[in-house]
Amino acid sequence: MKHVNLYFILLALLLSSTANATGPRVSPSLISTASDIYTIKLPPFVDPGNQYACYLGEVVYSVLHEQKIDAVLTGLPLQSMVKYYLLNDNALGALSPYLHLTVSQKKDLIIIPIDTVNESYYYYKPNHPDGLAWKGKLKRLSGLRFGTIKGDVVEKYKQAGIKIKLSRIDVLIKKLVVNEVDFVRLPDLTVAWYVGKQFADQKDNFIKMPTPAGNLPLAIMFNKKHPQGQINADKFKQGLDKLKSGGQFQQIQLQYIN
Amino acid sequence: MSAHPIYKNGTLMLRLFYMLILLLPSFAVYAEEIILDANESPPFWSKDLPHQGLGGEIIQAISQQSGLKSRINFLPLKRLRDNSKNNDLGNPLFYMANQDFSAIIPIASYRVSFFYYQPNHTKTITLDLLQNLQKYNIGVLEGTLTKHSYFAEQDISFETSYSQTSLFKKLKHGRIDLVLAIDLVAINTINQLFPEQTEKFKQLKLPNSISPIAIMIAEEQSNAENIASQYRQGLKQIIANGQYLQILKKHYYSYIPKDWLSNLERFKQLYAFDSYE
Repeated sequence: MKHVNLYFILLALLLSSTANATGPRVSPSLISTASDIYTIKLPPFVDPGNQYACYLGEVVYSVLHEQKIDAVLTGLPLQSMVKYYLLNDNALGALSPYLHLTVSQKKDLIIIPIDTVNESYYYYKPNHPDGLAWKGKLKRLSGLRFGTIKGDVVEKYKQAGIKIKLSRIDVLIKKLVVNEVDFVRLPDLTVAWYVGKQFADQKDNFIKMPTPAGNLPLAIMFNKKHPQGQINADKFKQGLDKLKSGGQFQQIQLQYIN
Repeated sequence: MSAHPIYKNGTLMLRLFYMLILLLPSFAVYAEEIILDANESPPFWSKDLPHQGLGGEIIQAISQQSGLKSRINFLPLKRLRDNSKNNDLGNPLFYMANQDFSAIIPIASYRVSFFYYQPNHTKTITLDLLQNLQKYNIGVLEGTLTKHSYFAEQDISFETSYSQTSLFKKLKHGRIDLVLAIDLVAINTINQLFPEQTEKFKQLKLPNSISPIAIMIAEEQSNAENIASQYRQGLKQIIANGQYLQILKKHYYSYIPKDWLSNLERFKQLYAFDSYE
């Protein structure tokens, strides 16, 4: 290493800030042997900022801990990034919400189902006082703006003449209120969670369309291409079975789902 | 004296006028000053460094190449994070939880490494240390630790300091065994503090530590798509003509990581979400 000039001496004296936006983030996967299981945020099912207090977080960590699987849940801001790490970087695993993987993408994955939750279409009543209903046909919503997370599969909406507005999950409900989107598709519990946090005094204004939008499978997937992928998938399956047979799983489920 | 043919031809004049009108929007893109917000993170971003640091110099070169007029505006981190309508510079993960961006253009990267002072250890430390970090007293900057509970469960303890200078002084005096720091920051701090002993400080590069430094274009930025495209093109050109490498050399000397450009390409793919809509 060569000696530095005066500017670097000055800069070293300036290095007193506690954190900056081009700085280290000391996470378990950085300096330990723990492998990453990537996920996006979908409260109350997955909340990377509050990992031990969300449905999948509690289930997954209970199993990881019990089975001594050296892995951590790592939150990413975009679903496309989860896919990239899983499929291109051969990450250990990922949680399933909104990954929309193709058959060929699933080829090297071991998918372990955990639960399934209901999804519905929601709109904001003050912006649509006459109501919205899709009645199983998306064409009935033609011309409207559908708000969803970046990376979601939106082809069928486009084909139905629906405009797409992509966004972070945290602001989808806000976009309904400020009339930037007309409707969203989310798990009922996720809508309830965000409305409770962001618009608690307006709960009655968020209306669920009567026909269900579908089911969202909640699963953990392990990557066969990761050196520990198959072994950890086997261990996880065993651990999840134990959690279910011991009644712990049902307790966690009850806490978040009902 | 007869008039120049062009003045005789009203149609030609009209055509030229229309062409000028059509070209105006693209001129507007070039003329507009693009404000990019950063916080003090030397040697990557600093208003006190030549060219405003490594990142600043890359931004200048890209802008010059692409004909864009860019200005870096330095603000405290909290204000950057609270503002969800501005253009940002830095590691996208620090901002993406609070803001939607129209485009993210990785322009550089940084790596985090462990550093130790060899005379304080009888044996060479290798990356096997990750298996038993409990044995070591690790120094990190205050505020950089995430998931404290995981480290507590693993019985891994840290000593935090408010400055790199303090961390490396402690390392030299044996009060801590390892410092976890950004490679470029550490190299410069060691050079400044212990210029005669730089060879005695050893670096252990962490394989999963490479993070991007990017230009983040806000959704609210006018002409965002054109601007992003111009920045990307400018970056491509300065890499091709060698200017980019020259900038890196100024800061990394002969220590430019060999996989720098392949990592840049990887980050480009990782943040290529703007093509989804």
